[in-house]
Amino acid sequence: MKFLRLAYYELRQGFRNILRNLFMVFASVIVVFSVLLISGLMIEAGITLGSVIRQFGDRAEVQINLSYLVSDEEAMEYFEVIKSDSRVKDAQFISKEANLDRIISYFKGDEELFEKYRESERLHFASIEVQLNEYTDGTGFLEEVKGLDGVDSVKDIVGTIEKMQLMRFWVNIGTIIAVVFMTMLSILLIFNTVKLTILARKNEIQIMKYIGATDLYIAVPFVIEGVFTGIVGSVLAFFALSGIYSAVYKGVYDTAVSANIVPLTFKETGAGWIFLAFLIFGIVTGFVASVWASKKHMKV
Amino acid sequence: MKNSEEKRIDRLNGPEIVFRNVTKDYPNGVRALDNVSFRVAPGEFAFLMGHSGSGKSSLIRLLMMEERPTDGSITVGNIRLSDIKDSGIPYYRREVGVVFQDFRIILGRSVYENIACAMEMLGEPKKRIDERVDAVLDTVGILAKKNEKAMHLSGGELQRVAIARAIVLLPGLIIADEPTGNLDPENSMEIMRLLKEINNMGATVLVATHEAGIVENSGQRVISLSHGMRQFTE
Repeated sequence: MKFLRLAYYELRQGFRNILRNLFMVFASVIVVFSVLLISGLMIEAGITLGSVIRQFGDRAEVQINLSYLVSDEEAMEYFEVIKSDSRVKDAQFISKEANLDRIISYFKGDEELFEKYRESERLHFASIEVQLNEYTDGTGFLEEVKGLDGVDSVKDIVGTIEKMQLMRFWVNIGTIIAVVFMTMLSILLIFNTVKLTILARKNEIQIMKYIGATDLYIAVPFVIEGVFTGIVGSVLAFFALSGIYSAVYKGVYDTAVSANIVPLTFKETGAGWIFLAFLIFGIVTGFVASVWASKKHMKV
Repeated sequence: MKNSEEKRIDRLNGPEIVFRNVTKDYPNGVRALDNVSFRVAPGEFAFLMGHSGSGKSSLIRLLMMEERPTDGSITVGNIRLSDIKDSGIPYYRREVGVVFQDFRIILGRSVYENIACAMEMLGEPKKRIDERVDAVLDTVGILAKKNEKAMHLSGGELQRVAIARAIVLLPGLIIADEPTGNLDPENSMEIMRLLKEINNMGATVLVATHEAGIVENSGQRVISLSHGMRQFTE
């Protein structure tokens, strides 16, 4: 009971501090909010990019077009060799005739224009469509296939994925730098807010020490102020991020840009976990900053 | 006094204060106290007299454990102050009520809040705090001002609040550092009467002052300091 009463008195004093120092608390809340929002958006970008890469990776397809000089029988031999490669998940053979039909079918309605090309030898080539186990297997595989006699061209998305991976790498690096920098910034801002409160109440702190208050008892209301700042900033940032993400997703979906590529991160990661992560960040930042300020400036 | 708290305030147990060859040197080379020895008996009322710079404030700071002596020992009751670690100082201070010349009252808070905060830090229940605050305010004669903001009080009233706060934890020792320094003669007499009343409850009271008028005719023992040395005790 005594502990509960102490907790109540401390909480009451903490909230009195907040009310007295509302403007500075508001400024610190804005900083924590901005830090988490910007960091959240960058993390979201990284996650989204990762998801896009994953989805492309799942469809790590390579189309190998053989030379028109390679007969269907020879092409079948190529097919058997490629299919037996350990990096290949699945492979499909498309004969010369089937390939031409497929090309012509791309020009629906104008098929007759291409009928005369049926006689063209150069348009008669077999293809092998390959699905790799992982897009990361692609580079070496492609090099080998391109080196084969009889292979005319290879179409793949491995290069694109690699570029996206590089982009993701830099986005992640940027996110880490931004998060570290902005975390330091928010700690400094909360530190400064609590410091100003302590300095404004120096006389009061001195009086409390004279009547026998421990440093811990005096410091707790300041820590409450710091933690409160962190919590409010993080909760606001969560809702803002959630709103922005929903708006972006809706925009992407409405423009029909492969909606299934963009992940609903809030659903995938779990909104609860994101909220928890933000909350922990807010609490830890507020706690560290206010304890630091109390330790440094409470010696009166 | 109208409630049960009065009985408790009546039973203050004043400790003995013993200074033995206490010397206090400051880092700037100033010797504030030079081999000072004296004793204040349990439940005694004593004046600590001396002009500015005589070492009164240093002596008070040593008793409040704001500073530690360079040499010698100080004992309050059974407690040897040098045995108290820094972390134990707040607990020692709860046994000592202190009254300052400049009141040191939190002006933005009410009279009640200024006094109650001393009990809140002990986690006392609100009911007990209310009873005790009423009792001490009644003792110092400003119960009617309980809910007023301290900033609206006169100097005399502020000093009464300070005395009420000093006795709210029922300490055995009351130290007053120039308690009448900012008051008119009438209020000064009233504050001295209150301190004597608290002494009559059993507390040991040590009042530092440079005002001879306060000391004269009081009939209390005077410990006189000059340039950091005890001059005489009468």
